[in-house]
Amino acid sequence: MAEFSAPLVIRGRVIEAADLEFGGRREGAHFATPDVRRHLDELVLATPSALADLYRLSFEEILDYLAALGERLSLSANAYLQQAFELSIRVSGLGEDILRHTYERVGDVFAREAVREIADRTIGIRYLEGWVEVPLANGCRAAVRAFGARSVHIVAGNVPTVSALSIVRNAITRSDAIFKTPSNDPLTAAAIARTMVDMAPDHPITKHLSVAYWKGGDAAVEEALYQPRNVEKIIAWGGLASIRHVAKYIQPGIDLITLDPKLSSTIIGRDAFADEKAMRTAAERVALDVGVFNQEGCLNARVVYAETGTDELGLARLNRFGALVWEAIRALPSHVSSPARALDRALAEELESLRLGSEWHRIIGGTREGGVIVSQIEEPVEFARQLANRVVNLVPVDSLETAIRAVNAYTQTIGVYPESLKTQLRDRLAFHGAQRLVSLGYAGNPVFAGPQDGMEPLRRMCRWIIDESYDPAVVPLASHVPGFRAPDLTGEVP
Amino acid sequence: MNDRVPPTAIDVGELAAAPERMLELTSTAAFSLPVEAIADYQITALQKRFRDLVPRVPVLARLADEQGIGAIRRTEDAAPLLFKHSVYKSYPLSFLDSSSFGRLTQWLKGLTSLDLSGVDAAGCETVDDWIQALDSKSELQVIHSGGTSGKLSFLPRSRREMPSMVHGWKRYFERFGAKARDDIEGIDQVPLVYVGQRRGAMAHHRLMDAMLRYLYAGDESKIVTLHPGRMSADMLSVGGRLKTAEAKGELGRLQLPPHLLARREAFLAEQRGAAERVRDFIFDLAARMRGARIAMMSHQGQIYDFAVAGLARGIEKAFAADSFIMMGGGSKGRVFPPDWQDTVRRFFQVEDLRMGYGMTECMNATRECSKGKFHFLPYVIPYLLDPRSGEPAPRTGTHTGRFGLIDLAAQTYWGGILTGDEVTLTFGDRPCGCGRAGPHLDASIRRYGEQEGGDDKITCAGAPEAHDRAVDRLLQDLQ
Repeated sequence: MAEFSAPLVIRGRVIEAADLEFGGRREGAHFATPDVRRHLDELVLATPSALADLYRLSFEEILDYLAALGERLSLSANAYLQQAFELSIRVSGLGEDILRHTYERVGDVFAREAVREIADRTIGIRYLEGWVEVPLANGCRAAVRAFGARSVHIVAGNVPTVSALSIVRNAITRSDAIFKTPSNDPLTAAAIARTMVDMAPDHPITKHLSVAYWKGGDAAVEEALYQPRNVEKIIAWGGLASIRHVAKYIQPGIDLITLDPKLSSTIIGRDAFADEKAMRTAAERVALDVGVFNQEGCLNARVVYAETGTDELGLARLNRFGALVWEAIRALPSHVSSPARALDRALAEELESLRLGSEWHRIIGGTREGGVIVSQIEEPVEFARQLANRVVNLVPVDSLETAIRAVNAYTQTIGVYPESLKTQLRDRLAFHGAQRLVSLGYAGNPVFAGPQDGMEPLRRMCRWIIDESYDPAVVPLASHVPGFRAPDLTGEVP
Repeated sequence: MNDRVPPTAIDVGELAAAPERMLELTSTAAFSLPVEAIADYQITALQKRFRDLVPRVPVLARLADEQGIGAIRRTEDAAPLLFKHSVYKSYPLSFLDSSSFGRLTQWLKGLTSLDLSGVDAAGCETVDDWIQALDSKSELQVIHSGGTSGKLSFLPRSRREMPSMVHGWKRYFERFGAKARDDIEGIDQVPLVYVGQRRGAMAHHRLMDAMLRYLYAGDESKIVTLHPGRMSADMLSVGGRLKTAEAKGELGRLQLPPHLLARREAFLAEQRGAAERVRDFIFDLAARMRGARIAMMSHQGQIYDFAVAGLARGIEKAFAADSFIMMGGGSKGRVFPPDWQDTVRRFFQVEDLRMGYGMTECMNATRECSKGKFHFLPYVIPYLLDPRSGEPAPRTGTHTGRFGLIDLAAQTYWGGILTGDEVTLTFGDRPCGCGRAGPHLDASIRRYGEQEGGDDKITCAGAPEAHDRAVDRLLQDLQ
């Protein structure tokens, strides 16, 4: 008997009679859910014109709705959210205090001014609210508007905020969304959706959200769903496994927006190692970027490039710094970061093998509280992508060039210290693939009202429609132009 | 080494002084030793290995020190001393890219009791060069893995263990019982067929070299391989890295130095037409050695594919019924038809198609007994650990957990290894139905990664991709 039940929420209707069970992660929590295969017809928005009801809402009304929703998403008062929180405690790698802290703040994502900022900075509210006149040099009077789309969101489950943010994005773009929830968080999106149903069952925003769990790759669901007649956009978080299921359905008419898994790192310039005091400051900041969300996120630092030099003196400095980072990791307050239940087994074995077998690495800690691998050569460990549970790899470099060259398209956040170094390096880092540069210690404060993963996902979630108006008095019809020839690709009109 | 030692010629006292000699007893003799004698042998041998190797193998010394183990009184004391597989690849990968083979030698010194001071690796450019330098300037006979995880592991076996590998080969084919000796009668005259390169430094190649010397008295014609050349460690290394990167969708991220990139072409060329070459080889073999007794190291998929191809060609009963087939199990996700054995028997005519289980780190593989269990000869001390806590299970009754073992035949390196396999182990309180005393494993063996791989867990962090940390199984290492 499953302890948790994940309902199916379809357009304002909650279906609870669970007939399928799935095993959860780690502690083995199980959840039951209704078989979505029996409800496929209701899940898809058959007629695209059914989006029209969202267009009877003003943007301010959307903000009103979201703000009211945010107020109902208080952990102490919302039973659905409490249940999602309870399940997360069992299956998440985040500690209870962090989860509580995160769930307590889920409602903040819906706050009026925060949402307004997201809409305005990432799309431009006027494009959402109506047709924006765009005069063009060729005499055309164009109008452009951002329309919603019928979309599927394959959400990540490592942090509950992802579900909340995706619901906000769906509402402000006036889209229709089907959420495919992950097995590591089958309840958060459903909890928000149920709160919406309780609050305003017939509201268009409620009616344009469905939340379902099915096992990723279930052809019975995905073949029916991922058709251009049903879905225009798929927003997929997650790695190769997640994308692989979706990719086979991609065809003209379906736009796939991937928010791939990323890894993040840190670059620290030599000034930070000038003396003990400077090192302590940098160590605290490194510890934060490593420890926030218990290193479960893409934004967490895993490899730290330190411009200490690789000579004896440099290594001594780095080893000292490693000890300070270890101290700082253990000192992080519990609402920010907490020790794991146990160090990941595979990682623990890698650490043990390095500790025993390699004189080119020093291991500090390496317990459930985390650890620091101090490379004694100018090279990160090969298992850097597996670093978790607050284990970080410090790598000494003689020149920052080494750190810059290590950046690639899989790099998301780079924490840089000292601050001046960031400005100095940012163009180079961007050329190599870095997507977000941030003051060291602030990796865990992502900006929602900005680009993500090197693109603007909200703009891509919209269908951008252009209405072109011509006045023959200004732009004569082609048949009336003597010696007409087709305009060339630069758009210049002869 | 003399295989003709009658079972009674070695007493347990002698075995304790030279534990590897346990492999010289026939399977029937070894599995008939009184339980107390085996217990005595194992604890004495374990103490000897620990005593001998701690001062000479720095990695073991560090582990023992870390665990606060100064001496071993009981078998269970050694459970914390099982090496994780990753220790055999705990060197920085850049050493291979930058041809820092002097430093790689320095790393390897931590794992062997042998003196490597005569090895000058400075001029080595490739892993193959390095292995050949070790071969010629030391007693080492390093065994490397297939590199499927993207990194080669190096097990520092040596010339001293080679005879044990050959004894182990023979023990594999012996049944338990009074006339079991007949099972391997004439095995030194039966040619070995290996569908791969003749030379190299994977477990198979080392075994072939040892067999040439200790079984076939130097008669190279007894070894029939697909290819006379060398299986290049560098090519496997590059191939493994390419494949791993591809599987993770990170091919674009892989950076290989030019001298290794050149190997990529060789690797791809090797892959092209490989299937046809292998088929032609087996057809040719079936024609040349029709009805003859052969010995073969292979795995289930390959044996089955050969049978299907052979039968499609109209070949049946290709070899003698009493041929020796060592066949690794583990279908790697492949599903075989229920009548696969019939198909194989029609082609090979070989009656005995029981599966084997083994790993590079253990001196020999073992074959399913008549009751479908795997028994290890007494030179192997099995351990069963809780997969989460690492706590050893009590040494009585039946338990399921992570399998570890100490190979007492290892003389120059520490024989303790923790596998990645989940097994159900019965600590032979009573003899198995097949007659063998001592502990045994159920046939249902599974790799831990298979159940723990994240299938539908979606996260934004590109970290926890299931990593193949395979303890490369001896029988599956065919590339």
